[in-house]
Amino acid sequence: MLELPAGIHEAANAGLRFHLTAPLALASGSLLVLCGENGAGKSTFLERVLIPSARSTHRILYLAQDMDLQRHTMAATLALLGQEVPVGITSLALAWIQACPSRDTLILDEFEKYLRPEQRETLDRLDFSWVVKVSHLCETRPRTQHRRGFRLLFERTNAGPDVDVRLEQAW
Amino acid sequence: MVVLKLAAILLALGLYFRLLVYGPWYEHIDIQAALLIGLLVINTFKGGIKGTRQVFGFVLPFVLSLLAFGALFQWMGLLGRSDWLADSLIKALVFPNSVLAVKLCLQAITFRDIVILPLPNRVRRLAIVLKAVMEKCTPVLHRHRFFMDLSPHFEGRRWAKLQRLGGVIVAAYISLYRETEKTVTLIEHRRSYVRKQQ
Repeated sequence: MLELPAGIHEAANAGLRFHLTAPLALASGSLLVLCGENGAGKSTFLERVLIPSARSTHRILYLAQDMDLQRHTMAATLALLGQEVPVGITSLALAWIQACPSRDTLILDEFEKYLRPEQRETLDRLDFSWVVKVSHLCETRPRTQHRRGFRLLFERTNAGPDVDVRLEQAW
Repeated sequence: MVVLKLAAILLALGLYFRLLVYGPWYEHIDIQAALLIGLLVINTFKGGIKGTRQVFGFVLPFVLSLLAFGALFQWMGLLGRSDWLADSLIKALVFPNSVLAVKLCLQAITFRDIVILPLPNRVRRLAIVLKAVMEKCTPVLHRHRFFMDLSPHFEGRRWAKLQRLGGVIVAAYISLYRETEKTVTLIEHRRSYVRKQQ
């Protein structure tokens, strides 16, 4: 299970308080999409709340928003594993994901926008147990490769420190 | 004025090393401890608690291993010496003091100071690039460490921690190299823009 208790989750140093109205308890085969306006705190929630909470029980592959920086970590990792390092950023990221022996949890912070359809298919075929995505759009059409789909809706009022986080099941 | 400021900073740094690292006050634990407290207060005042926490994160592994080896050598009575622990304790104070002193002095030199300083163009450009890249070193290193710590690629492999550490160093090196190139390009664009405006 990918779990997070309901209640207030403070994001240290980011000045945000996330009010999770219901507990998050996602079984294997779930897709979770984080939706909300720009600046609602989706990436902060991922890095300061969800990832720290899940990393002790899950093997996490995280593609951050600052891909321009993370690409160097990916390149160094592939080189240390003795694998070819592709030049393009998406090919590099896909090679990095494929090189990982674990298919536990994949977290993508707006990475999909870089992908071509065939690259998206390659990613879908990798069959991760849990997939978490960040999106500005709340559209979550049922995906055959995930048994269950959820939306986590972020609402931040007047750019203040409090962010309401609401869980909805999409299918 | 800027020349005076820079001279004062370099003099302060020189005095620090002359008196407290290679000089008569090196072995004065009380002076070193008081200086550490003072430097930490200044650092917290200038960079906040987060900045001071980052300094701790940087120096603590070295300081703790220094103390551990000091205690071990003391217990073993290595080379017949009985001052291993006291010596380690001094070094455990001198190292963070030196890091903080150099950091605070370099931070006190601003981009404006470098621009105003009577330096040849090439040296000035180099100084600006160096300062810009140095300021990015710490956040870049922390970010790569976060990415690498999270990555499951090395799990179950021999020397996984060492491989991760190597990966962080390589990634940080590539990032800073790219950052230097970008900064040089940016300065060149700015200079040509200013020249055109004139």
